[in-house]
Amino acid sequence: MLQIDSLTVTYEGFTAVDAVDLEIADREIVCILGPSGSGKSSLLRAVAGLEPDAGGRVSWDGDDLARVPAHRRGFGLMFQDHALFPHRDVKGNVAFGLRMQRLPRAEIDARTGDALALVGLTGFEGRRIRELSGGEQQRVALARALAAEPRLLMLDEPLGALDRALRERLVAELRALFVRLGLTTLFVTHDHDEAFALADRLVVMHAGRIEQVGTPAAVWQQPANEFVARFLGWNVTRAFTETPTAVRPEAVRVVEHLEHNGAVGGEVVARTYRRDHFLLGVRVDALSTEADPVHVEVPVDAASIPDVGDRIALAVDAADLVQFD
Amino acid sequence: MTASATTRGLPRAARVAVIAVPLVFLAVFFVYPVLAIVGRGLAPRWSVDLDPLGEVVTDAGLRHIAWFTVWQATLSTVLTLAVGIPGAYVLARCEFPGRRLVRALVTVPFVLPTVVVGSAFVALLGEGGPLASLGLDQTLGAILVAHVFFNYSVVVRTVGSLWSHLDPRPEEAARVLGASRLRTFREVTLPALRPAIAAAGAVVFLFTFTSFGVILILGGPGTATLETEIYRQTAQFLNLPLAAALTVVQLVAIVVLLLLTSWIEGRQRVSLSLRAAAETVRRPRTAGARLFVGANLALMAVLLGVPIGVLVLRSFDTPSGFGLDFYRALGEVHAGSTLFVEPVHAIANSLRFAVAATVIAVVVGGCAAFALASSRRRGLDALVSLPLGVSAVTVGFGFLIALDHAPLDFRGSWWLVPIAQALVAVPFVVRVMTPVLRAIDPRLRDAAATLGASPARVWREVDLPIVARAALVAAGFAFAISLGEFGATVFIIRPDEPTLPVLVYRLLGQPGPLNFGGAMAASVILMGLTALAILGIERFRAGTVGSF
Repeated sequence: MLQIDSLTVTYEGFTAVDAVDLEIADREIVCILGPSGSGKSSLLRAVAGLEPDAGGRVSWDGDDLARVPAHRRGFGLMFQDHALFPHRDVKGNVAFGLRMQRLPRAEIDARTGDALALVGLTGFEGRRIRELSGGEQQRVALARALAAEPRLLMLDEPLGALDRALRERLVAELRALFVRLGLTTLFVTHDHDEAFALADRLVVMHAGRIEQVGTPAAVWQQPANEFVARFLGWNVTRAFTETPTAVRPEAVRVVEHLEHNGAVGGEVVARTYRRDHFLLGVRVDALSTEADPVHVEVPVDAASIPDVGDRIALAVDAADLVQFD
Repeated sequence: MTASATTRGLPRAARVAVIAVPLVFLAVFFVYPVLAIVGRGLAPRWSVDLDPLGEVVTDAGLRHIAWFTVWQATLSTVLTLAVGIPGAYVLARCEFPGRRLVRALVTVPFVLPTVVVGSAFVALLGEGGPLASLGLDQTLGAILVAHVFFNYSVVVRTVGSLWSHLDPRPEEAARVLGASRLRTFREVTLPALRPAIAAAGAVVFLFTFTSFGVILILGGPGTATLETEIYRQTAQFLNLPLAAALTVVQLVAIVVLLLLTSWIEGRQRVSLSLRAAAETVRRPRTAGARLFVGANLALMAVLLGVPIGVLVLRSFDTPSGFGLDFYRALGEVHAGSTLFVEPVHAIANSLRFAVAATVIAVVVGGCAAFALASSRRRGLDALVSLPLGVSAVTVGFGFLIALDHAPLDFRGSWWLVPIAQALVAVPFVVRVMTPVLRAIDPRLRDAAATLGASPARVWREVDLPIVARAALVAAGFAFAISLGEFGATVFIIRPDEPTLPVLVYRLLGQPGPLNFGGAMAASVILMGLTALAILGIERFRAGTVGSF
């Protein structure tokens, strides 16, 4: 079990990670989600032992790791953009960690082969890194991290460099693999879809601090604060209540008449196409002033799509509104 | 984050050595001799005496020499840029069959020893040469052509490498907005290329300002420069105070030049949008474009191919028809020769000195590169680059007057020659190795650490393999440079131990077809050995290793 207590990482006066507490149980897949610059990567590096000046405490099964250097922690880290050794071939990369463990050659060969088979790259042993596609490099980096059988596997935006379609396929594969191998995993990403698809538990980070921890479903249903709500794409608006309230865009409906219970009137000011629906930007009359317009984003399907300039009525169920303190 | 932890895995003693080795080496073999020259120049007999320096300033003959040095370097630079910039365009932007081969061939002259370039143009322009009727022998014209030949690749490589990455879309935008081709070049392309052109021009000016071997061999009575005059005053008139005063003038000029260059380069920095070279290259489509490419290729073939071709031909062109007589004659001392030994020994001498110089240069330059890559030590950076700018003649002359008496009496020590050659090669070694060491991605070290490698192991597994490759490339350069080194060697070489370049120079200075043919043959052998060293480099060269 990994335990992090008030971990702090500073670079020349800038605090990248600010007194973070976190626990990860064995075999759990935890995903840190946050915008770029939120301190996710620094957190991983500190856990790996690559930020020797980090403050706070990182411990494993109760043992403080402060005096354990990176190479003795037994944690695997898959780097953003992979950091493969350019002067070694695929096998040389994957076998590296096993050689550091001074395993016999036969075992190294066998486990290298197994790791490559696991990521679907059997027969790639002799290939040069430069000759590989982005997806293949990603798999080699994963095989390199897995082959050493780390007690904790950390992945730093491992899918960042890949195209959309490939990412969606790999996310499912990765989750199945982690579960099958029973790995304790700490995964970092800025991509919501990746985080929600992979994680047992989500950690939302912002400006070096943890904003919310919970299961993907819990976080999605009940964002803890305005930052998390906005980051997840919710409307945070005064359109339906006196004080700012969060509401999922899907929960807002376009209704026939203003007389509908609790409906508000507004003007469509923007219309953008999203993959399977249109998203309307609506300026709500009642509360808007010139200086302070109140906007709501509303998804609509193909049946009736208002134009920019149309006047429409919007309604929500009170149960869908989330209020913050 | 420590972005440059190249030396982090090393023990403390090694980290100290990495800085101490180059510092001590440069202090003893560069700074001390240069200070000795300045001392001799300003205070020949332990008291300040500005007469020699005054002589340089007031003597009309010496003033002419200083003026001619600047004049020939200016002309050489302008000519080389004028010929080289179109060539840079053709090789950077135009697709044609054999492009890669031409690009490789164009760089050959730059790595040729200066005496080989000198004797190639003697073969072409001198008595009995195919272009002897032009009357260029021993004139400024011969020197200028040889300088263009020698430095063409500097312009093509420096300007061409920027040009090949320059985003072509601003040019296309200018064309769409109604600018003619010429107008587009003047208003869009040229301003973008200016930093590269300035850099190339500065390098060519520096090289031609300190050009020694080419001018000594090709020049005549009216073409003395500061460098050749320092040698003449030392070797012929034994007027060391005057030679020292000339060197002081030369040093001041070079320091001013280097400062000016870095000031210009600082001002020229512009941010450009760069593309992959493969995206900018186009096949010439119009007849005019094809003519332009063809004309440039023809010029390259004539300028670069003909002198080397004539040199090789004349090494076989004996009085008794084509044959190996000149090569065979290198094995014997013949009547009337002022050489003390069989010329063939020069090959062994050259190889022996070059191997020793390579080892020294790689050790010293490698240490300096490590120190530079670990942190920004600007003083050390300037110090290791100085021998390059300060000229080989200064190095040789400094050895001559500083290291032949107490406290450092190394007179007659055979290893002075490889040390002098190593000094000339060290800046190149540093230039090849430092960028490679700096470019090692620090995350590779982190990755190795998380996979269980201790700091020492990280150094061995990540840094060393990358460093070793760079060191081999640097060694190839150092070997080629040492093999062809002439300016420093000629001052300190023992008469009975000539190297190949010194042999070529001596043979050219003696009358008779046998001596001339011997010089041609020895030049061809020297060229062949240099080519082998460069071919060795290309084998180890991984993609983009340093510049030069």
